[in-house]
Amino acid sequence: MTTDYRKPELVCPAGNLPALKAAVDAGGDTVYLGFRNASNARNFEGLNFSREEVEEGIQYAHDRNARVFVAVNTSPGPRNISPWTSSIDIASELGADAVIISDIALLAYAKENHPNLRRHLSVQASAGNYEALEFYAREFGIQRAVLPRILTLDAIREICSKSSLEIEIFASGGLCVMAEGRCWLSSYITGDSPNMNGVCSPAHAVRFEQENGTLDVKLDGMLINKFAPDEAAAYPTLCKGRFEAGGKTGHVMEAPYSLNTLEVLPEIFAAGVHGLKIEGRQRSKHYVRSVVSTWREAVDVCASDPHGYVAKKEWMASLNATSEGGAHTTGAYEDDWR
Amino acid sequence: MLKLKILPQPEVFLQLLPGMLQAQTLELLLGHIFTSSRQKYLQPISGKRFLFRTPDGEIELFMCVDHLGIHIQPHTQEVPDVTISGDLMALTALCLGLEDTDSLFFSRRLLLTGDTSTGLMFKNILANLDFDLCAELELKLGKHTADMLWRMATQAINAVEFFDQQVARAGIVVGERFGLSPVEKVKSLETQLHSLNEKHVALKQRLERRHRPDRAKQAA
Repeated sequence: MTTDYRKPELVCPAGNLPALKAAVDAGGDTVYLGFRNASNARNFEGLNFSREEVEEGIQYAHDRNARVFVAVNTSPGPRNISPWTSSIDIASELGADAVIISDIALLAYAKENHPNLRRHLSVQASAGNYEALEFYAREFGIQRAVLPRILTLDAIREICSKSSLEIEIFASGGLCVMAEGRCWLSSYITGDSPNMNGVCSPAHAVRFEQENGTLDVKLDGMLINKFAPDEAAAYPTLCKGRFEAGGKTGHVMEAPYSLNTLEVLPEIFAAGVHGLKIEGRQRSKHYVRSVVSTWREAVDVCASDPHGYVAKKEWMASLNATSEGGAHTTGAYEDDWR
Repeated sequence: MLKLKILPQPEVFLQLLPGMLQAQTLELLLGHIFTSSRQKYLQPISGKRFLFRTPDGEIELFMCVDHLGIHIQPHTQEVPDVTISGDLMALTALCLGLEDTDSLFFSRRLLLTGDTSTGLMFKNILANLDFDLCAELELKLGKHTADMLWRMATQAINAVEFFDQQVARAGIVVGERFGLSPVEKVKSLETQLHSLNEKHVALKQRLERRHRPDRAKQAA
């Protein structure tokens, strides 16, 4: 039996215009971005795009045959939905190639008001089975779904074979506790969550204090991590904090490793996914350029000879050099724990 | 223009001069980055006070932002909202967007203490600026000076020893670095760099002459 290999598109992050240009110039097929408000899951100070910057970014990408997806993937609260709906309106007006949405009210709004604008289901919707995807396709006419990072490659392959939707998966970058859209750890301490406010560990709650080389990381006054003088630091998230449990102190929930699926790329091609998402909208243009270049080369090499493909050491080293924790994992994709 | 005379204790001066030159470089870079055309980007951090410092405390630059732009002073009693600490390379990389700043944080080369929101805002303002500093400096200063400034900005740490050696051999009068107009500052730095460069070449030649017989002996 022969295996069909699908060459997926590279869906690359951009938190600002220089990063968008870097992603396109480095060979990204598509760039995803968000507006400078709480409508997207990376709502950090000074990050993201104004209307004018989105317009310029779309022009830059389209001129180079690249696409732009706009993430409107948080859930509005009960008081004012307009920042979310207007983000969808503007994305449509400016010619974005798709909107990435998780909230069902926003999916309905986009379907009704912008029927010709592609709707992608965000990872924040946590739709991890075929039946859920069919529901979203039937009710809201989505064309693509970004799968949560809790699935094995076997499960992804099964979904791809059954679903008529385009399937996108995370290929590279920071990992969280893999319960996208359902994680309330940040909210537990700070009151803000990525699901509602677009921020995990909002900066207003983060404090770094260093004495004699030891770095203390506090979230809303609570010590969540301590780094020895020569130890690599990590993002100030609760899930990657170190706590005492059972008489031992360590990463109780998750170690600060980054996702890297270069080693299983042929299996991903064989699964039939349409998009490989690179995480990192909060990162700089240098990170984007470096990571996208590496992935561009890897995907092209794999597409030309999936049987002979081997992840090059320099690719792995390049990704590790900029990753949180300086080490990588294939996450749930190769796990047998499910 | 006031002149800073060579200090009586050479070792003190040796420690001071590179830091001063480095601080001046950083100051010039920040001033250049936020020229009038880019001052609009500073609005979200207007009224905020930043302290840039190297871990050894050799460089301490205090920067405050208001509606007129940025103002930089060497020392102040004011309490900053944010302190950004790092070696000169890391601080330069942050200001010029030369490296990924999260990677600098992971590797502990850059630390932000105080008001993290303001610090993150500043970092992202810098990251959002899309400009080619090399080209801009070249246009403003000429290729030769721009090349020297660039080298200094990116290799300042390695240059410290080299500056020390040169200063030990020849006195250099350094113009007061603060209270000058931008043009005067550029000229002052240009003069210093030019002078140092000349002395560096001379020193290299002397060292080569001095070490040549040793190498010949070793080879024999």
